[in-house]
Amino acid sequence: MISFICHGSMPLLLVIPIAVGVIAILIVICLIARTRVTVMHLRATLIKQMEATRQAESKSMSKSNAFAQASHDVRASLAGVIGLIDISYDEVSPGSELEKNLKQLEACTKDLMGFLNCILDTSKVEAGKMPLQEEEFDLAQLLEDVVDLYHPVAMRKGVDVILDPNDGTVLKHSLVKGDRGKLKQILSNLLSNAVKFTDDGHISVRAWVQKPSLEKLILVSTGNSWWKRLMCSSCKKNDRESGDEAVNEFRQNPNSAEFVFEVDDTGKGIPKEMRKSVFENYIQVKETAQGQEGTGLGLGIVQSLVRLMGGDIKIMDKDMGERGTCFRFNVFLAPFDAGATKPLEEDLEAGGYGVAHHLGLTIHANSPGLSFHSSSTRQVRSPKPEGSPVVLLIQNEERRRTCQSYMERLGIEVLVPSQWKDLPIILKKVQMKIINNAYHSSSGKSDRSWRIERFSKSASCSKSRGRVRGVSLSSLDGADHILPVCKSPGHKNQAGFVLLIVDASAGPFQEIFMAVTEFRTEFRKLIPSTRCKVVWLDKPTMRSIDQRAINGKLDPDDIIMSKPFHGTRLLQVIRLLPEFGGFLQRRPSKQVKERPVQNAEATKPLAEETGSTRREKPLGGKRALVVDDSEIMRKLAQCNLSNLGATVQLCENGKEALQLIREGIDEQRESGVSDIHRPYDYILMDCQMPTMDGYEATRKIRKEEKRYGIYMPIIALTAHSSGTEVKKIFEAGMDFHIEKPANGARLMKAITEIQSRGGGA
Amino acid sequence: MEVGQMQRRLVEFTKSLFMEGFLDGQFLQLQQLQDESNPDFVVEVVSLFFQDSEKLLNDLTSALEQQNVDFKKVDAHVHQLKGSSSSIGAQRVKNACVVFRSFCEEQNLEGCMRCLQQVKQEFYLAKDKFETLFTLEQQILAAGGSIPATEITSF
Repeated sequence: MISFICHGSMPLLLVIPIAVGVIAILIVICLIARTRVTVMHLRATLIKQMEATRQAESKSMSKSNAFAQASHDVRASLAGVIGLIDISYDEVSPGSELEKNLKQLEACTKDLMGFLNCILDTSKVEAGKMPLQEEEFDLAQLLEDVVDLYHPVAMRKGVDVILDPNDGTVLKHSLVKGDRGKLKQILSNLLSNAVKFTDDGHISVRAWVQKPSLEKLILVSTGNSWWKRLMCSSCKKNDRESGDEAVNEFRQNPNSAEFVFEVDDTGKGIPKEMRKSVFENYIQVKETAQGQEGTGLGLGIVQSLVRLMGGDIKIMDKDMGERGTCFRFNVFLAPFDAGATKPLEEDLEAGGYGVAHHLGLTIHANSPGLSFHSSSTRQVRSPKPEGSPVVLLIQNEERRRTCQSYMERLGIEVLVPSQWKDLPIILKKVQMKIINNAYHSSSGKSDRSWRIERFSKSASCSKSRGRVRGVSLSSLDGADHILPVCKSPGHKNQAGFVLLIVDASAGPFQEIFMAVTEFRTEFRKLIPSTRCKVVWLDKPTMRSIDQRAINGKLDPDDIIMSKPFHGTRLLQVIRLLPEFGGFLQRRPSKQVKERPVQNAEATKPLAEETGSTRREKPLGGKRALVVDDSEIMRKLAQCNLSNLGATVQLCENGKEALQLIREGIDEQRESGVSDIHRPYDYILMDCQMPTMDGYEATRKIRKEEKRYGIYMPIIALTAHSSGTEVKKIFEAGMDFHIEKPANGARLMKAITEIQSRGGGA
Repeated sequence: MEVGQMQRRLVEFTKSLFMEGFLDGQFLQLQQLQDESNPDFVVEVVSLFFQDSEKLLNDLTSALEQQNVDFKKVDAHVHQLKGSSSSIGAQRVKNACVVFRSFCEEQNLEGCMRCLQQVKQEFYLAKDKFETLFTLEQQILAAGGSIPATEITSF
């Protein structure tokens, strides 16, 4: 019985674990199945993703390809443009306006090429792996080019763009080696931003060479890695690492110098909180719809570029009350002396003022290393009293300031009226001064010489106005606004020179011109040995100089400059001074002449036609009688004849003319003159007139003349030039005929004809 | 409007007048005669012309309306108008007068009437142009600028 029970419960005991096992297996199978499904799903998704990535990659590839192709086409077209400009150079006359425009065109296309390359390399820029190109270029010229490029655009907004020569250090080391394209991009971008965000005032661009600071010297000398790390620890950004290498590379290079640039504007300004973010978030500065030269690179890229060149950029704090933004950045460039300094600078030095010496800069030429002992206090030499004075009248305050300080740094004495109304006063001061100098030099010794103060505030101007008026030479002793200064004895003031730099738009041109011409004529009278030269600054787009108003009274020696007054043009004008190599010649050299008074030349043909030069008037002292019934004709004739120098009498018809002549003769008879001479030297007679026409009048006049043995040439004014008419004219006794309307040229032709026949004089 | 803009407008306008034949070289001569001693010369002469010519045109109209038209008198008037318009450089008026005179010689009344209309039209057109020119000049002077010289290129 027991065995039976045992046998009965055994399968039960086995079934449970088996069942459990089966269930477990089933579950496992389920799970496996599930995972399989998931795996399949995942696989599917993976495949999809891979596909997508592949597509995206291929898209980007084709995009780059298309880009490359497009850029290839753009490059080809650009090359075409550059080539055509090159060819055009041959066709153009050197020195003309067209050539200058071509030069600028060429510069623009070169920039375009640069931009194109930059766009393609944008990714490289962000990675900071953009290669720096080394080329030799003229930094001062680059600065001037960029400033001149943005000048017209800014002027249209009423903003002046000024190249501040600062302390002249850039001029001394303007030949450098470095990446010209990137530097130009940086400057262009900053300037275009400045122009965009400034609506009035000015934008100044200045640059100078910085003496090496202490930390950099230490870096150079030690070059230890732990020191580098210490410097690096003060860095805030990580990506500075790569830049840092470049920086240190530059700093260690004894050949490179630190050049600091500033772009300073009087625009909207950037609030302090945004100063950092402006650089980071380079989408911030949006390009306006104007489509400027902007490359689309934001300030962020500018920052990367600057850092690549070994420097950094930041926004400077401005003084209280000053608005706008001032960007300052520095780069490292390797100046190289092509054996000597630039010829322009050489001239400035040779003048004997020793600019370099006084600025405290010594340059050891032909040596690999350049040492700078620049003094932090930029010495300003007190202007030598016996030097040629310069009067500077410039409308824009900032430009005035920069020009003045630069000239004074060179030791030139500059007198600056703060507004055009003060110009006559300043001119008077110059006059007194020169007279005094001439006076004292002739007397040999003196313990007085004059240093004339610059009037930069109108307050002092109004004070002095009262004193200067009516002041004579002797009373200058008591004038206490002119301070006596010890003069070095034995100075020569052989032929003096005065330079006036006048902004033609500083005030009403007529008045300024009159003040200048008055000064000039007085000057010539008083001190004939001293020469006076005037440089007129005009705006390129709208000429302020009204040629008609002054009508050829412009001195041919005067120079009119229509491009902004800075850079090479400023230097050219300075070179006019005898201390800097200018010659006291009648005609300045081709280099200096900006626009050789072209407008005056345009009026010259007319002048030659009429035969009237500025000095002589061909009909000076002659009396003319005009007989015409048309008031307009009378007015015209009067104007023409008086311009030729004659005194004019008008009348309306032949009868009146006869009367006037008779009266003229009678007057002489009554005053008891024995030998009657003709009352008029020339008669201008219209043929067709009411009451008594020209023919009859002439006949009657000839009868009168016969009685007294006089003869007056009569010029007929006629609209007809047909044979019969002309016959009538000569039959009546007239000498010559002019076709209506009579103008100066025709009149003069007739008169010279008559004179050659012997009828005149 | 800023002075520079006004000056440019003036230059463009003057150029267009020459291009369209409203003005000829004689007008330039007038401008040459204007200087500091004669600052309003051009305006004065042109105003004089318009005053005189209005009267002439009235005389012409009445002369041609007569029963028996005195062509000699008409011709004399036209001659005068031709002279004065040529002296200020109003080219189109002058040309119209030339045509008028030939009809006068032929004693063609209908032709003369048509010509009178033509001359009147040109006259008022010219007057309008001159007024615009002077207004532009006045605006520039009032704004403190100076009149830019008309450059003598090929006309």
